[in-house]
Amino acid sequence: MSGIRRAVRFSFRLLLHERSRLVASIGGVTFALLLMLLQIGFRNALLDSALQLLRQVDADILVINKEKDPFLARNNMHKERLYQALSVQGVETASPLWIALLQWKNLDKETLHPIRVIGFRPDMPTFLIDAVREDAPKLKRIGTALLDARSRDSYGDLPDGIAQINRREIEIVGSFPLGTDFEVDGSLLVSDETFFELTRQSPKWIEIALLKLVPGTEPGPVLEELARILPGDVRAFTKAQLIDRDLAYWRTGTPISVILLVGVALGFAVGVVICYQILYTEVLDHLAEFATLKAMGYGDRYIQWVVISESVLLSVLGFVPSIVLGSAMLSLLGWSSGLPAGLTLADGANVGALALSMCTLAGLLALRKVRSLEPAELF
Amino acid sequence: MTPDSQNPAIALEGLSYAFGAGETAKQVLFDISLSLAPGEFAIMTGPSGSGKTTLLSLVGALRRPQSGKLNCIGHDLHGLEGAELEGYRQQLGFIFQLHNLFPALTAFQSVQMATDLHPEPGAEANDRIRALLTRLGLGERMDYRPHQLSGGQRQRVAIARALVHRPALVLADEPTAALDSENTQIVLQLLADLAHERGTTVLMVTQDSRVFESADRLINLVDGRLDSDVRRTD
Repeated sequence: MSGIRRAVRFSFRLLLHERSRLVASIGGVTFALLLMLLQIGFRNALLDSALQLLRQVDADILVINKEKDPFLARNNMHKERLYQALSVQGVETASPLWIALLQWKNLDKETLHPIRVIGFRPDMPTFLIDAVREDAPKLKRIGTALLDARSRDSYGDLPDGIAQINRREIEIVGSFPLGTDFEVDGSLLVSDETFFELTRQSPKWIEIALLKLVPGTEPGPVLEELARILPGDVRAFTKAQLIDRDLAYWRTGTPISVILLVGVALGFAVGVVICYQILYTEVLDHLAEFATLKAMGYGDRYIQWVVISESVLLSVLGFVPSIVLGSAMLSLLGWSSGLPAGLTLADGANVGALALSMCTLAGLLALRKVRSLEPAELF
Repeated sequence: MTPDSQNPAIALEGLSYAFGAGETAKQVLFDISLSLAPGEFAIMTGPSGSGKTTLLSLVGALRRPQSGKLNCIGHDLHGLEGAELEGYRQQLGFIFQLHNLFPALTAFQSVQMATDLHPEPGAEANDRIRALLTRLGLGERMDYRPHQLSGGQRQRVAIARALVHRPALVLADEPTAALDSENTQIVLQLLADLAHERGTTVLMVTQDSRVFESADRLINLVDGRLDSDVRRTD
């Protein structure tokens, strides 16, 4: 058996021996990893919730006001831009989208809550959501709407299907799955005509133009042509470009995203401290025994392997419950808030790598004590 | 073996040692010259603070010699570093006053820590561990951890750990302090057998007069100086 394998075996014996200490140690590491996972989950919720509407629109290219950054910001443009875009070769359809923030009245509590009302033409390809495609014809009747099934409870119950928005009664004729975001508790889809009734907004102004290209058309030349013919008050993006632009905005252009990243860093720092305390105490409690090993002829490298193996084992043992707990807590958060809070496989891998680095760094710090160990201190 | 052997296991010449430096330095060993042949069983005695343990730790390469010559089992201990230092320590069997056993390890696993440093093919090392623990009265306690053993049993595990790899030199600091008479005799017999049958040199520090008769030599240190060196076979 090689020296490293012997060191690993020995470290397992050391760590697994005292069950109560092991449980406390795993608890400490799990806590630190949970801090990081939750921050990452919150950040995902921020990014995903901000992008969920954009991801669900049925478009190859979007034309928007040049000031509209991020996508959810409300900046409209003249409807003429829609027709100008439709005139470009390769563009098959151009659908308008209207967005307004209105007040929904909770009829049980008599309280007002903001809701995002999205107007579209029911007979135009606008959303990728199956439920919307199926129920869109129902919206042709003025005064009807589809309610986001993932809206928060703050909107209250609708026993007879009638809601009150901006003091107007609206009949909810169906639902669709979208989700809340950090601005509103839910969304409502209505036809263009219902939208104008609700908002008193002029039909001359639209929020977004959704362009579908003729099958097989490359978006590049179309974008170039759009840039050439459209006035400077609007810009055209492919859907992927706009998603990337919005991701960059939310990742780097907002304080909350930075705060959540700082939260991850703090979790890492807390983890290093906890892990260091565990390993340092382990070394300190067995100082005479480690010194005896050195007196027997074991080298510093062997003892370093023992401590590093302990730290790696700790990171693995702490990682598993933290992933289970973190996923459960984020699911609970998603269920209660409607936010798309969750973890991806990449997040799991990243946190696994962070756990490994956190414990290894703590192990390296704890090793300073071992390096200074003199077996002569045994006397 | 005789003390006049050409290649002594331990050879000290003019060895001095001080703790600290400058005006606060405290000299604990003064110009010690001593030679132990392979297979000799020597007991070193002396009052507390006479420098016995310091001398033992110098021979065990746990401290760096400062002045004088110090050669042990073919190694000049001046400037011994790294792998050479580890290699030298691996040829020793060190018995400390305190057992220093890892609480996580069974008696068998504790002794195995010593044989792990000297990999052998097959199960020979494990057989030797079992035989030695059995000889030390721990045949039924091999799977016990330190907290399940008495003080004397723990000390015997530590003794087995020091002897199982058949060291060239055994350095023992009060090894029998925690043992009853019966087990003291077993340990002394074991050390004597190692010395006389395998040529292992044994240097034992003790104040326990019960064990003096087992030794070939009695060395007495007083105030850091060699006070007497008596060969009991003389």
